[in-house]
Order: sequence, then C-alpha cells, then structure tokens
Amino acid sequence: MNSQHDEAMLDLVAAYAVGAVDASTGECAAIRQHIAECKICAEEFKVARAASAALGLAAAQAPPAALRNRILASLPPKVVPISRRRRSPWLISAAAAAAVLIAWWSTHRTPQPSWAAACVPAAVGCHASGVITAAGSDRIHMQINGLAALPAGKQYQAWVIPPGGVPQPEPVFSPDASGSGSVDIPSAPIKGALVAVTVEPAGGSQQPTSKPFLVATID
Amino acid sequence: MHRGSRARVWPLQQLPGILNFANETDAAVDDERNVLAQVARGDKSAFSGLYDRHVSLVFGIAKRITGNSTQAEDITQTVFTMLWAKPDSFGGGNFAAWISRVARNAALDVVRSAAVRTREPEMPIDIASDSDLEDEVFSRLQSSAVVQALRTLPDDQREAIEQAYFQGLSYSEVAARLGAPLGTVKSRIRAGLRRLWEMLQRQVPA
Repeated sequence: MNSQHDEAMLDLVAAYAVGAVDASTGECAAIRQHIAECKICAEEFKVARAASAALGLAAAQAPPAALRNRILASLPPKVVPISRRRRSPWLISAAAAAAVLIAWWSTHRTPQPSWAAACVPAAVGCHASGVITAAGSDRIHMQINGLAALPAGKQYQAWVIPPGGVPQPEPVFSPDASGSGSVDIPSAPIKGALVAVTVEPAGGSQQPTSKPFLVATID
Repeated sequence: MHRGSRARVWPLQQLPGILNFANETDAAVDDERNVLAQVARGDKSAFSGLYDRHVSLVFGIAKRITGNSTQAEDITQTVFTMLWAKPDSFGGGNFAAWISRVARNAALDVVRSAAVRTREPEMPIDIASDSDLEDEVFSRLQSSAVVQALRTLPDDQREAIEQAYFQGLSYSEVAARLGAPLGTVKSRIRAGLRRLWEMLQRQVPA
C-alpha cells in the first residue's frame, strides 16, 4: 500500500483536509486517489481532518434563542408511508381521498414556485431547458425540453444536492420522441439546493458517473 | 512515486489520551444515528434534540465565515431544514464533524455566491474516513480549549490555517495573499494542524 507514498503529498493532503485545495483544478481527485492508495497519507489525512474539525468547534457560538422556534415552526410535515401504519381499508381510502383533495388544492389553489433549469456552460451542444416546480412541500417536478436521444443502455437521472451536501440519487427518466422528458422527485424544495441531470447507465447510479449538463438552483 | 524515504507522520499510536474512549464515542455516534432514523419518521422532538446539540456549531461557523448574524441565522435555518428533509444525507462518520462541514460549505457559498454562480457546478464529493479522532474532538474538547490551542500557534501557521478554513481560500490563494511561496504555505498548514492537534491532545483528560 505504501509503495505509492510520495513525501511531497503529505503537505498537500493536509491542505486538502482543511479545505485549501481548489476543487476546480482536478487536484482534489488526485489527492483522494492517493489517500486511497497510501496508508501513510491516509493517516496524515485522518489527523489533519480531525484538527480541522476542531477549528469549527473553536467558532461555536449560541444563536439568538428565537431562532429555535423559527426553525422548528418552519419545518414542513413529513409524509410517512401508509404501509408503515396499521389502518383499516376505509381509513386508507379516506386518506387516499384526502391526499387527492390536497394535491388538487395544491395544484389549483396555490401558486407553486418554480425555477428554471439550464445547460451548464461546459455542456457543449446542450440545447435542453426545463422548469422545476414545487409539488407540495415534499416533492418537486421537473419538465425538460430539448433533450437529446440517448444510446441503448443509457438514461437520464436527476440528482438533488442539498446545500453543502452530497448528490442524492433521484429517479431516472427517458425523453419521448420530441425530446421532452419529465420526472417526479421525492425531495422537498430546499432553498439553496441544486437539482441536476446527468447521463447514467440504464436504471440509474448511486453516485453520478458523469458531469451534470443541466442544473437548476432552488432559491 | 515511492521515494524510499521514511515519512514523518503523526504518531497516532502515541495518543492514548485521545484514543482510549472508543466505546463511549461509538455509543454517541450510534445515538445520533438513532436520532436521525427518528427524524426520518417525522419525529420533531428528536429533531429538536439534534438542533439543541449542534446549533451552536452550525451558527458559530456560519457567523465566523460571514461575519453577519442575520446571514448566519439564515444559513443555520437552511442547514437544519435540509437535515429535516434529508436526514439520510449524513453518510456516516462523526455527525458533528459532518454538520460542521455542511455549515462551512453553505456559509462559504453565501460569501462567494456571485463567483460560485458563474462557475461550472461541481458535484460536491466528500471522502469517507474513520471518525474516531473526530469523535474525540467533539466528545472531549471544549470550544475554549481549541481557541486557546490556536493562540499557541506561530502567527504564520495560524494565519494560513484560518484563511483556508474560515475564508475558504485555496493554498494558492493564501500564498498570493501572504506573498509566500506555495510550498511554504502548504508546509505551514500541515505544521500548524499538527501542532494544533498536539496541543489539543494535551488538553484531553486522560
């Protein structure tokens, strides 16, 4: 494992641990690869990252007390799958009817916020554009036009990236003959989150295997 | 790539004060995973507890980076709303360390929002790591102890580390700002982190 060790990498690994390596240079990927292969640098990273974590602790500060109520009061309700509950058939029917009514009300009575999805500058040849719409408090819907046909074995896949988080895999979809495609995403429209689309192997991936070509920011 | 020399590494095996509490911290990590499972089921009481335990960390990091209480409150709300909506975003390791990184990234995005929007969006990728050392940081150390340890660093090391962590500067940006060679800045960062860790080790009750 240590046959890959490079003394010069130790400083770079420490810089990476504290977030001081520019993500746009490609250097991060090389460092991650090296850490995976070199035990010495993996240990360096582990301790440097723990020391870096302590920096956050140094900044800890209590917020205004009113923030607690503001945040807790703003949380949208969660939808717990009916299958987790033991309910009689008529209760399930009533719940389903209520859900239909709520969905209808949400669609017809409340203006839903929407966000534009556009090609990223690096996606040469991309002519797609789309609209993302909040579908209630816990789902979003994405409608895209101008999608290119994909070769066999490939599908488009949606991703939601919470602020500062990692990409969350969402459903795959395929365009129709006119290049239009849509997908329902079981994710709340969180302020600051990115919704992205990549090309993935049919059935989807747990982590993106290609760069996103279409992105929207929920703001 | 091997150059045949013996690398200077931090002596993990010589940190008994740090490493002897694995059982306690494992239990704490499991507790947080259980809480997140409750949050996934919509348990607001469990979420409140999670908020109470970690909000000072999130708000403090956001305020230190933005220098603005109102923005820090908004970032704190964004982070905890995300956690409520997607508790499975936490992929493992130490929860406090993870949410610190989320708060830092969110705050840096706010500070650099104009620049970020003109760049190609990067899929944020985290790297998996063992969390025992991070567990110890958050279970055994007080904020004041870290502040005190930071004060013991030579100015050039502390400057380089703080500019990287709290201002989100890359080592090349730090070098340009300080007028120092790239290699020197990287060495200062590593030496400073090592010294900080050694100082913190002395503060952990044995």
